[in-house]
Amino acid sequence: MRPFGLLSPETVEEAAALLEEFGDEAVICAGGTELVLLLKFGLADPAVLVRLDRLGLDGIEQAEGLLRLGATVTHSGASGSSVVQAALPLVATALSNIANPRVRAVGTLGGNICFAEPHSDLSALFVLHEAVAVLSTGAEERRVEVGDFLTGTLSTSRRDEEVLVAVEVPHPPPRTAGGYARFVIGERPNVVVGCSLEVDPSGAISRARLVVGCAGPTPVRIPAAEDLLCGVAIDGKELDTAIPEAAATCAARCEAHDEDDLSGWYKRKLVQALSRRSVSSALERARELSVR
Amino acid sequence: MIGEHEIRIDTEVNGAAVSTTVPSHLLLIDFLRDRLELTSVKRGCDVEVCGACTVLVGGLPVSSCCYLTADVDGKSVQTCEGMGATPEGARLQDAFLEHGALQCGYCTPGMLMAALSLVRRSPDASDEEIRQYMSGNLCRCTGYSKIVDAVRTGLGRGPGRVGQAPTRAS
Repeated sequence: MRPFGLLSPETVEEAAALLEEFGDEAVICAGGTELVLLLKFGLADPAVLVRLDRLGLDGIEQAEGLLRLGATVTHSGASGSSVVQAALPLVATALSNIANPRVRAVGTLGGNICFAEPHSDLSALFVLHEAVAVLSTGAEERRVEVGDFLTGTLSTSRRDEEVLVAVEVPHPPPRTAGGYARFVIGERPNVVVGCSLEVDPSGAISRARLVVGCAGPTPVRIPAAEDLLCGVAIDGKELDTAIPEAAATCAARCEAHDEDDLSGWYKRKLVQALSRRSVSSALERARELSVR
Repeated sequence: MIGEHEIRIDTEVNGAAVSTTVPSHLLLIDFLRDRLELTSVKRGCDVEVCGACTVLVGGLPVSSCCYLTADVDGKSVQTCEGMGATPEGARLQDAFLEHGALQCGYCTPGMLMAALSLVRRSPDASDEEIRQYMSGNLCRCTGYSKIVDAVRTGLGRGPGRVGQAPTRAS
């Protein structure tokens, strides 16, 4: 690892200017839990690290209908926040599942989604919640849904001079229940399925959202499976066929490439089982909500 | 302007003030072991998975093998060498001895640091929470059950064993 310059700009404008000035020679470094590993193994060799510690991006704020999570909030900072736990319980759970306590103490939300490693629960949950990435050059701010921000394995649509400053997560609408199931080997989640169900006053599912994460390069929604759940009563017999069909559809339609530890074929089996579990878990929560 | 390659740090290590300059790419593990001779910090996997290199920075556990020394500027650092100075640290050290919670001893400093951070953040941690938290540290001697027992004692909980194989229940 060769010595690099460490720069700590005081404003986002300054950060953007540095990124533009140094181009390929500069890399943003927040917590560094991914980047320092890359540096150690020579997989990244920047001349300059642009730090984000002086930019004040570590806040959690309530705004109109949404929760704004600063990009440099750590995983444990977010999962331990009573505000996040109350408003976004699934996200809080996903955060507390990341890797190990050391990575959670130092790693950041922004770093996680900008690194765009496919094996991320957090990305899948953000896509489930229709979270929005807020990108800034100081002068200009741009918003992109996380689902669109993540473009492939280790790839995002962030422009070189932009800094991810926050992730804005809309509050789930009232009468919404969620569930999420994961399969993990060691610290790596290999398959994650998140489910969110909105229930109308008559007790039928009015809106369903199903996201499969970690199995392919990016998290993907499965609209065909979601359609199978819409209109179904949360206490009805229709569920006996709707759930297995939705699960099978998720397995068939998701992206699941072969990897060293799991084949695509096996991942699809997992997607099927985990889809069933996450839908069932969301339904259980939905029934609790409607009883109250 | 290419940025500083030699970084000035003002920090506190095990209660003692340390002011010095370090190369920007110096990893915390190397600073602690080589510069400060705090050799309790062990290099295990070198990829922040095993936890052998765990130290506390600002009270939080970090993998010192993947942490820039520059990042301790303005923060406190604690290693096992400084544990005995606090009641909860001393209690944990005694608990590890009492329970025989070390074999080769290589993972032990990291286990102690992880346990110390747990004791501070969750003094009422349940047995399940202890296991979950400590599962971030690996022991190749598989001494886990005694380690978990020791952490339980370190949390001030009475006799009783966490380290039993789970029974095949419902």
